[in-house]
Amino acid sequence: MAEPEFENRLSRLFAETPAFADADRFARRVETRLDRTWALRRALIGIAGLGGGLVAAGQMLGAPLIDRVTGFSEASLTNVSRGARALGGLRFVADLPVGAEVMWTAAGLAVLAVVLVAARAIEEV
Amino acid sequence: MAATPRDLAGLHDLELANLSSAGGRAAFGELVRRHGSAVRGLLRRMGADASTADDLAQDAFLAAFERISEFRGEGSFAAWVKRIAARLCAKRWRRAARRALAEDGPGIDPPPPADADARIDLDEALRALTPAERMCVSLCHGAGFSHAEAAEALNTPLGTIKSHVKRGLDKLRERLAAEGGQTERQANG
Repeated sequence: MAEPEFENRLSRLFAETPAFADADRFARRVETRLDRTWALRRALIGIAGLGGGLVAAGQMLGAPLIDRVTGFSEASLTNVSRGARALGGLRFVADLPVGAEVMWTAAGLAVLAVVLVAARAIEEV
Repeated sequence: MAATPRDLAGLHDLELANLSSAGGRAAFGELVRRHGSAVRGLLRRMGADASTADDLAQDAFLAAFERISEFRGEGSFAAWVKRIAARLCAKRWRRAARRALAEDGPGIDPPPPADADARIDLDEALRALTPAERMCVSLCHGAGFSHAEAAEALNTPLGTIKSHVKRGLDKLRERLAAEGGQTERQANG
């Protein structure tokens, strides 16, 4: 049999779907796992939301905590600005019109990005 | 109003994929019902035993649901999900039998005899191949991978893949020709 003809025949044979007696049971198992994954995801989002809410509430009620965090943020920002000035070449960083909140948000996003990249890399390996 | 199973059964794969993309798990369930056997069959042909093939097929469908928005209907849904499943199987193979491809030895236990309801000529013929040949032939002819894609998926040199595919095809040609002749003789006699 000529090569292309044989390969076509082989592809047709591979395309034939074998019949499985438990096909329905298999589909139900996938649906169950899908439901479980979604339920877990919803629970995690709920827990994260609750946690965030509690932290926010705690911050609102405990003003000293806010002051401490703000003070710490400002101190960090000052240190970053001082470091950037010391480096000379990075003067523009120190001159950026950003506050402590922006710095913390940027840092948080950077950490999130690193976690996402690491997760993706682990998945690829 | 939510679509009933009967409504879903009448929809095209692409429509079901679009519904799944919007979070429709029932629509995705219909896709699993339609194509589950094709994916399970491919994985068994790649050399996975029945329970491993089913686990991998489930993982493949879950992965497909996660990235269902990437499916745009350029090819068939079955082909798309088969490629996902084949990659998962190749990854598992790579971990379990990294040396088998290079040495062409039996890295994974040979699969047990096929279920009676899943038996066709090809499954029998594939049994004559080494695990490496079987994996390479199934990837390239069952899942539609190019030789280069198979080499990447198995992390194996392209030349090794090509030689496994060639040797596998030679054996299959011989086996399938013999079975064809036998069937013809039975029909005539």
